[in-house]
Amino acid sequence: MLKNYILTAWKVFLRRKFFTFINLFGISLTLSVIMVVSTIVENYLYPSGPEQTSGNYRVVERLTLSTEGHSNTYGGRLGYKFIKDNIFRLNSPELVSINTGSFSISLFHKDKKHEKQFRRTDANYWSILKFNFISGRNYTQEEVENGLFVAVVSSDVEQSLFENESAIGQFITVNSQRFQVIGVVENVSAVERNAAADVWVPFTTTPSTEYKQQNMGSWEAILYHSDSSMLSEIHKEYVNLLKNDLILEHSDGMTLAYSGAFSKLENVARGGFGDEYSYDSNVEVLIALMTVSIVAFMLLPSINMINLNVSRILERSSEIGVRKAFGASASQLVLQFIVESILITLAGGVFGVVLSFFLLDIVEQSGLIPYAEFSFNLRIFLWGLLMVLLFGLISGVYPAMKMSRLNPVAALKGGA
Amino acid sequence: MIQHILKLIWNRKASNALIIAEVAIAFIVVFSLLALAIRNFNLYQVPLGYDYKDRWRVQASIPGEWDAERDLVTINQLRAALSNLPQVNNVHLLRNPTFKDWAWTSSYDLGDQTISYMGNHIDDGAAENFGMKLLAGRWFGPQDAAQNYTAVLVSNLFVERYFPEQDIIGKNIASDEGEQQLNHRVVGVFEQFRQLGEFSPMIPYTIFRYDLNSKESRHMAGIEIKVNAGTSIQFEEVLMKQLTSIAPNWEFSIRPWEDSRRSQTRGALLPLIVLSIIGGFLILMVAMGLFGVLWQNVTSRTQEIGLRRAIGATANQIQRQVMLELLIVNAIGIICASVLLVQLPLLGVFSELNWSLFAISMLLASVFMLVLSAACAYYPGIVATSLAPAQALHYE
Repeated sequence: MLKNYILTAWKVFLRRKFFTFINLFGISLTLSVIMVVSTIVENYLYPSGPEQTSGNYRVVERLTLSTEGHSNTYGGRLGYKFIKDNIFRLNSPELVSINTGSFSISLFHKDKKHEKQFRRTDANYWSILKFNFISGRNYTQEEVENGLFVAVVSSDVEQSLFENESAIGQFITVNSQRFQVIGVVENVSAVERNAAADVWVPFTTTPSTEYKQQNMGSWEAILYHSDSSMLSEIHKEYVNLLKNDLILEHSDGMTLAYSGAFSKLENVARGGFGDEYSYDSNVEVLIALMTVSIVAFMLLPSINMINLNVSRILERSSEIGVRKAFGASASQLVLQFIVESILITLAGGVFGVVLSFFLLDIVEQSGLIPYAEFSFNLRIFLWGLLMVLLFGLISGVYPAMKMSRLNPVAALKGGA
Repeated sequence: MIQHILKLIWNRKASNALIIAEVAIAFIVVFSLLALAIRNFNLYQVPLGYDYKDRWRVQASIPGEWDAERDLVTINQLRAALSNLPQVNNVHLLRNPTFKDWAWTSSYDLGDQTISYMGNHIDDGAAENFGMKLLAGRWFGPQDAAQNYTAVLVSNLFVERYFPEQDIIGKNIASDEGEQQLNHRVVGVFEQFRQLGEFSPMIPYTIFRYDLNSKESRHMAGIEIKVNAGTSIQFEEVLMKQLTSIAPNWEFSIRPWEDSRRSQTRGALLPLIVLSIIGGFLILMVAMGLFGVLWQNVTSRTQEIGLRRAIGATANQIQRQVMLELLIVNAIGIICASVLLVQLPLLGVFSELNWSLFAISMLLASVFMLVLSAACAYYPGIVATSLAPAQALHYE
């Protein structure tokens, strides 16, 4: 039976190539846009690089300090002092790592300027995030404590500065500080916000120690636990500490602190829609917004396809009439048309996947997201497949029901 | 004629309703893209109010709490050292950088209006050298030092919005500390200073005089140098050495304004370009869809058209009927979408979407959709008239 449906569908597609083309064009375009967006989102939420352990940590990125009554407020990233006074007192995380966030610096080598991203970190950073070392090693706890001038660089730095030589043992100068390279790691996609940089050095090499007195700054803290179910406990303990046991010195009379230990998605939500004076991330708003925009985006192509399919009912009325006269039930006809519409969406889906490969390649090559390498995995493929089927159903059901309701006598004559 | 066509449309209301829905959604897409494009184009047309060529920003990161007494000495040393370099034309201070999404906004209540503005600090002579245009009054200078007021320059928009038809020169306005401290005296009005670049909205702007010798002066970490035309980026290394030899504890980063401008422009345009490409393909898809539906409709109505021809309608009349039908369906779709869209400026959802932008986008989007549908109906119209009446009547 199914074979017959497929054969009929094939003949119908070939009969009006223009319509088949419009359908395929719409489907592949819609799907490839959705696939590209979801691949980027997926790579962000489930990183495959150093942040592959993201299921086991939460990051504290933002902090709001305020006075009673909120008349004076600082908002932004954390300072070292705040981390030391408060986050280091948490008991639930197994490991806590801190870093300065990444910022641009200029590296000069043989009279050439290279603009690179720079990050100062502690030693735990290398235990929590799984960097892929090409050569050398990371710096140890002892080296951090002693403030040694050692650096880990990305393979991009190795190539652009030292060309064919190994970077290990060479020196680089950042803001007139000389660091010896002890390790080279694979480039990190900028999508992995907490890991991405080109040069990593111990935070104890900061030229002045004034950062130790600042509650606000550019820092972030990564809180790790090997049991992912404990992560919400970490957030709870942190919020509890902010509410009841906060230590805040030299803070211009500010006594309130709002912050949270969030997952990657929650941190995006907090940055975009979060309430400054809240301990929550408002992640629900972000998810709702994403769902609404995907549905809205699929609406136009769906209606377009329904329109086309409805307008073609007449073209096939004699065929429907014959089938009805020979005893086909309405549900059999609906099934047949849905199979047809799913077939064409699947074909469009294949084009869409190929197209999204190209588009992702363009995004990677363009350098918009530095070092981005989008892995295309099963989960995205299944999502895409689900979208295709949904699309096929949406655009197939209504026309199919309409077709199956034709009066057989009229249909045989070619009328509707 | 129109009445007759409306009746025809009503007879096929189910399938026309779907086309109307499609047109309405497509219209919303076109409207949004046009509104975005027109707004950004308008913003781009407005001059920046300053000159960014060959100007580099030295951003210092000063460790610890700002101490004017100690840190201004260093800043003055840095200024002097940089001015002495032959490649450097002039050196000035600017508190908040240009072409970065980093700004200081403030507001206070005055009578029944809230005065809100974006502010910045510059030193004497900076305004002239940044190429800013003075409309009234004077720039501030050494004569404003050690007075009981702080000299302020305000933008033309600031005057127009908050003090229209008043002579603002010599007037005192409040500082950001609160309205009780009316010790900021306006000495001049400048055209504008679009700190956030070409695609930023127009905001009332104020510039405060930065006193390099006052102990009350606030945190200042931006030194702007004008290099001679053609100075290459290699010079940055020389600069860096100079800077770190004077202030070894400070960290510096140097970036030409032009670089910041380029990355900011790219950041502003990129989402627009991506949206336009996706929107363009959506519209193309809609166009092909309308074309296909109409073609199909015309073929299925061959007999009806044959009948009309048989009783004397000319090919032109048939063509007109086909096109009019689609245009009217389109117009209904546009009206439906407009009813929804008009809520946006009515409710003030986007403050940037004012009535004039709304009207012009609406008009252009309507014209676009009508032309698009006329183009889509043209070929099916020809198909409809291509059959001879006798053939058409027999057509099955």
